[in-house]
Amino acid sequence: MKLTDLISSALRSINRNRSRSLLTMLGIIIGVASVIGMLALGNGASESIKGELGKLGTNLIMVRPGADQQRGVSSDVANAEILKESDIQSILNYCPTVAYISPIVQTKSQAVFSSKNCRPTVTGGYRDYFYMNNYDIKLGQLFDDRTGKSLQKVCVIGKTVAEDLFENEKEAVGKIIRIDKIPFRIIGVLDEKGETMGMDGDNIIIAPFRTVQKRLLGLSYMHMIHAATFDENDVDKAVVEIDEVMTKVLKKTSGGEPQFRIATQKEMLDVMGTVLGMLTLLLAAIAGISLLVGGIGIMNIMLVSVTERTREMGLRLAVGAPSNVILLQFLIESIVISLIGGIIGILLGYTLASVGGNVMDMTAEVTMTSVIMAFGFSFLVGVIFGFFPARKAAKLNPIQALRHE
Amino acid sequence: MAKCIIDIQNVSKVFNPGENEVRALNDVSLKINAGEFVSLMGASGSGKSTLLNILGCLDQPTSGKYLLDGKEVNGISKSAISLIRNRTFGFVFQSYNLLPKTTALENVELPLLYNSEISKTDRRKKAEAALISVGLAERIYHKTNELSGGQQQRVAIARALVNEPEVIFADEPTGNLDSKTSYQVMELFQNLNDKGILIVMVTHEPDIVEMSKRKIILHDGKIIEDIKILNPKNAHELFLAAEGK
Repeated sequence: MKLTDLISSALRSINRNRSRSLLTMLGIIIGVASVIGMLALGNGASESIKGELGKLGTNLIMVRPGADQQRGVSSDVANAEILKESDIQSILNYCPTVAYISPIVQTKSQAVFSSKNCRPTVTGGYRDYFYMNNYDIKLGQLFDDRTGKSLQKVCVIGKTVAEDLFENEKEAVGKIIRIDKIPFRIIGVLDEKGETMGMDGDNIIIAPFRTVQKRLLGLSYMHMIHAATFDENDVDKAVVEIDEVMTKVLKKTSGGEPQFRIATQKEMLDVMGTVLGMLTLLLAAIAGISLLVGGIGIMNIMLVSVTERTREMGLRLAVGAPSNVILLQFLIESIVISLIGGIIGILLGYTLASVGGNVMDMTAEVTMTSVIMAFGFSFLVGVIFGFFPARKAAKLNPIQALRHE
Repeated sequence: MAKCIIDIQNVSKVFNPGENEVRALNDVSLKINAGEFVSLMGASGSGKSTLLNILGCLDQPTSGKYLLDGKEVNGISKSAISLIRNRTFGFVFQSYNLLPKTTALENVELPLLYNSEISKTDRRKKAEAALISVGLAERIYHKTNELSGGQQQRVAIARALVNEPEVIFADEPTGNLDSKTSYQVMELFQNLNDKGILIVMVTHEPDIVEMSKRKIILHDGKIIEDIKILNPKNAHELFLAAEGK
């Protein structure tokens, strides 16, 4: 029997048993499409979150106060009076890899302009704060406070603040707004930062460190220190340096255990990456279950039709077909069904990924691994369960196969 | 003296060897010559179908010798047996055994599909000719489920004769048919027999047996009667009589 005859006979057989073929294909289609689609969406979600985190700057190192105790009473970490502005100078003196540094104080304050008001996060920092956190100026300029001596009442506002307080953000530069009743002159508007994990990155006001620390909050300490290296690869080295310096400094000042914590954006990214990896794994597990269910579906259909197939086998044997040729026919039939189902499944998976990606506003990229894995598994299940009953029947006498019940 | 085609010697067939063994054929010897039209008769369980299946190489005997055209069949390879079934034999079953949801033409083409010497166009021509010869010219492209029982059996006969076999084996070919349709089917067999094809048929209907040329009766796995029918009835005449003409 020629190959073309084999294939055309397989196609005719598929067409003859349309519902069985379709149900088998359905099992494969569901399995393949769900695996491809889900993994693509999982990867897309994790990539888009990673991208957003990346916007925050990967060279960033954050020094925060640790648990604070005053006279044996634990108090809020944020109010711990541990980090002093003098620490900044120590770090600058003794940590050669640190390229940018800024102390940070933060508060939620009300900002008012004429009859409008909003409630942004007000951050006090050096000019380096902008560089470290990838803030770009859109209108006007940044304040010129590299050393933290400035007590100027100027500020740079984010897009959301500009929109909330002004008809047109172009009007904002030069205007005086009141932040907690203290007048600040707007000298610049920042580029849009977008949302990061559900938080509006543009609902912010940034002002010189001392202005916020002294005038707005009346503090003598700071909430945290942001530092950054030039090169991402120096971050670990910088962390060690800062740790050494801070340990010395804090020992000197408080005499107790070093009460500060150093975190890096990289660490946070790594943690995030782990979480996202688990998310993807979860999706993969769900997809795997669909694959399994699809596989069981295929098995059921194939096994249910064994009787019918065995009789067909008997008939073919009776009219003189060599059993290996019939086996080849059945095998090709299984392959064709699995192949068609697999291809439809892949197409559907791609569609699922792109539609889901559009709906969730991210790029869901289909990975070759998921395609190969899903397709391979379903294909094998389809072929094995299409083929093995046939193989069993081929071992029978034609007459046994014909009378199979 | 016509050539001896089928020669079995001391053939036995035992099912379920062991405690519940059934001796379907017990030491049967039989010679059938070219051009014969043999009916195998017997009560159910007498071994007539088993004998037919063994003669048709659909089943193997437990013991004994089978010479086909003077050549031994026992112990030859599976593919050689397939070849015999494909080229030398044709089969007609009581339940027709056609592929469902398939046209008459495709069913008849089936044995030719496994004969690589025949091209696609020849396959079609031969199958069409076979269908025409059994009087189904109008039904070539009908699906099997659109045909009556008699028509389905005629498709099965066309399938049996499409590869120009030497022998046609028929297992109760008229068992599912009314008498008029049975006569038509028997007429086809008689015509094929006239052309020199050896026919071996299992039946339990006495009037059908009378249309063949030799009657073999089995009982408990043994041949108890083997007689020549001197004046076989003509199926065509019987059909006309049944039509009332």
